[in-house]
Amino acid sequence: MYQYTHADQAMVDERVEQFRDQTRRYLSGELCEEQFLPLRLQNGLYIQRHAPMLRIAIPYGLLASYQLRKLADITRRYDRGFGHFTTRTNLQLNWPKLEDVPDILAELASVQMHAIQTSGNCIRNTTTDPYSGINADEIEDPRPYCEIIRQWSTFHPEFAFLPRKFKIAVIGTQSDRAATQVHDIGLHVVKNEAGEVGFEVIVGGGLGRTPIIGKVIRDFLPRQHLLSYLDAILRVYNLHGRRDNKYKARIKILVDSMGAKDFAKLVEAEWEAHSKDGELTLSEDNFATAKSYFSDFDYENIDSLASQSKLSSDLNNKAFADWYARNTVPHKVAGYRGVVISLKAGLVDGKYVPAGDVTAEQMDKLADLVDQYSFGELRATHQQNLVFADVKQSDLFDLWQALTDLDLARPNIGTLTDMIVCPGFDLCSLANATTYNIAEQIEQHFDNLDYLYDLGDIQLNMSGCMNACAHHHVGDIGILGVDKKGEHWYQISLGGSSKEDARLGKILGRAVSADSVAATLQTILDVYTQGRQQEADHCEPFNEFISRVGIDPFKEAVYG
Amino acid sequence: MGNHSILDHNAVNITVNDTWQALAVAELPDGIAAAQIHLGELLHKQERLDIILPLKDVLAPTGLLKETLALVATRSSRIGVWADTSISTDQLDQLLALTQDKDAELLTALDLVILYTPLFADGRNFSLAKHLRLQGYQGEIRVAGEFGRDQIAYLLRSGVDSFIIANEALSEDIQQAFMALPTAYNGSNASQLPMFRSAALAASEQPLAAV
Repeated sequence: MYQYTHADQAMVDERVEQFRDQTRRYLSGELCEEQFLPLRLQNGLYIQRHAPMLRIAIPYGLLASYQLRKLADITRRYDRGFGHFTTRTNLQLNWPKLEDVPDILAELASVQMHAIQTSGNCIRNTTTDPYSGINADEIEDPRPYCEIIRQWSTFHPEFAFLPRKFKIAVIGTQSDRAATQVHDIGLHVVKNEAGEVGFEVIVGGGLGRTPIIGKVIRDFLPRQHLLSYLDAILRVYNLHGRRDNKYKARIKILVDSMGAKDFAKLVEAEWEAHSKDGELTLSEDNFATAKSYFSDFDYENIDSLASQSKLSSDLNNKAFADWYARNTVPHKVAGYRGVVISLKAGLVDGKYVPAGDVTAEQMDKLADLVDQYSFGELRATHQQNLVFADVKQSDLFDLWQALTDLDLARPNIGTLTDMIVCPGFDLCSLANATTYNIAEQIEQHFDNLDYLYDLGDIQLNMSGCMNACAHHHVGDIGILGVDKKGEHWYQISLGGSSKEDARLGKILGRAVSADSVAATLQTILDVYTQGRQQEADHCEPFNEFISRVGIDPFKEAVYG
Repeated sequence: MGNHSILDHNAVNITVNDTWQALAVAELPDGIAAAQIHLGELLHKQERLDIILPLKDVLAPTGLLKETLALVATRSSRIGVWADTSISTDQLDQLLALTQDKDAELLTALDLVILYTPLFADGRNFSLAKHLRLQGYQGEIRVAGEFGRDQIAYLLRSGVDSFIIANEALSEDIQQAFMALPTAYNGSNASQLPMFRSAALAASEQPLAAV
């Protein structure tokens, strides 16, 4: 992974001192609330319902074991011994003290980490596919490009006070595991007919109050122009994006209101006039340098016969076999697998463990395990899980046992209970409704693993307000908490997707009461299990069933 | 107007030496210049002055100014303009075109552009300054209004030269704001990204090591 140069280290150290001074000036009354707000946000600091919340950046989700140990240490010393992974693959601390934040940032800087631009109206953490570098069908590993974008966007002087926040995602495969089409900019690594590498550029996607799928503004951008083109898009947005209404300030509104074609024309004109072939142009040497940080690990030459035979015997254990089937993914190197660590433990000792939450103890143990089994690097995913990307097939059984002891081996990846859930009203000051109690209700109701497996792949996303942090619009099932006269109600939508077939879900109908969410889901799932087409070895998945029958049969079953 | 100071790019207070006077117009915001002058007064002056005009009036003069703009030019030794952040890049380009237009009597040279920002969070001033630089404007760019000291370093990197700051915001350690995040780059050169800086350094050191 990327290792800081002297310049990177100096930058994060300088930032810590700058924020220490800003915090001092704020606490002494020299710096007013209006000016401190965007400054603290650009250091990841929110003021939430009960306490400040600090969002720590995990660039494109990649994290080293020594960094994870430091995070464990920080959560113990400055917080309540746990952290929360988000859909932007960042880690949130929910209970730090405002005056401790400069010290926390200094601790982070000591392990090449920071909270820079994890909030505020600036360019946020760039995200990517959690299986980058191990996909057999990858055109190119997107992480070197993510790192280039990270360095370009960090402390970019011109784009720190944009009309609204700005999120970029990059992927290197046809399959989209990073929700790129609902980002302000989605970049897809592609090759043209001449075999040159470049990007398909998608702009203007986003969720929140006005969910919109992004539009392609350029089919092929040669990769040397990556930064100069981003520069042009951002300048057009900074100058033309609306600033009169924060709900209409995202680039998606600008692109939508003027049309993707006209927006593309503005960008091309700006690019041609000022940026193209200028000093932001990247050289082949630059790409070689960036790639050198993400080269393949020293994979062993594995005797596949022996490895396969051990696996076959391990798979006789049903619990392991379930975990293997749901929680591991193929690896480009024979004898290796990627392992998804479920942070959706569900009910532990009868109590719901919030999606994405990890305790300090689990972090320490995970750091040891990733050192032992996966080259000391792990990844955070858009789905609020973790990934050990490079595990030897022959080690899977031992790793599974160790994870089981930590309540981190729940074999539910891709199933209904692998829910994306925001913290909701329990912690967030923006939320309209609680989410954790509803997730708990769903866990209690859908506690039969074989039934979940029979349902197959279903993405359930639940947000506590229309800001849509948990991406409810693009779940197969979306749940949105709403407030009606002080009571929490839940609006359900069906048929969304954040993948390569990105689309917005359709709202089922009027919101249901808090105590009937799980029962309503059961009604919906019954429509599916009774109506799906089954052939000898193929069962129509939930998303395809909805595409085929539409939303009416579900409406009828729920409200009819 | 006496409640503001002007700082140059090194945080040196240049207020006393600054000779710019803003033409008094109805919508002139506070803090565009250290002094202002009325049109009538200006036309009666014998000496030539450094005058700051509203950019919109320069592009499309109205009223009395329409008839006297040429006269203003003859009374001025240097011309500056001010605009708030709602100004478009097209309007800035029109302005720059006027400076190239030999038939335009007013702007034989444009020495100062002042960008007035009404809100701290309004970041258009960064891109407007950058646009002027990208278009080749080499005169002074000054920011005024509700920008904050914590934006000064970024404004400098976006092409701004000087700052008009309310005296009450002028603390003794203001100089620190001009040197914030010294290692960060200017946003316009890929070779300045940390990993490429370092790679270039390593490459330049290699032949030396070989010797």
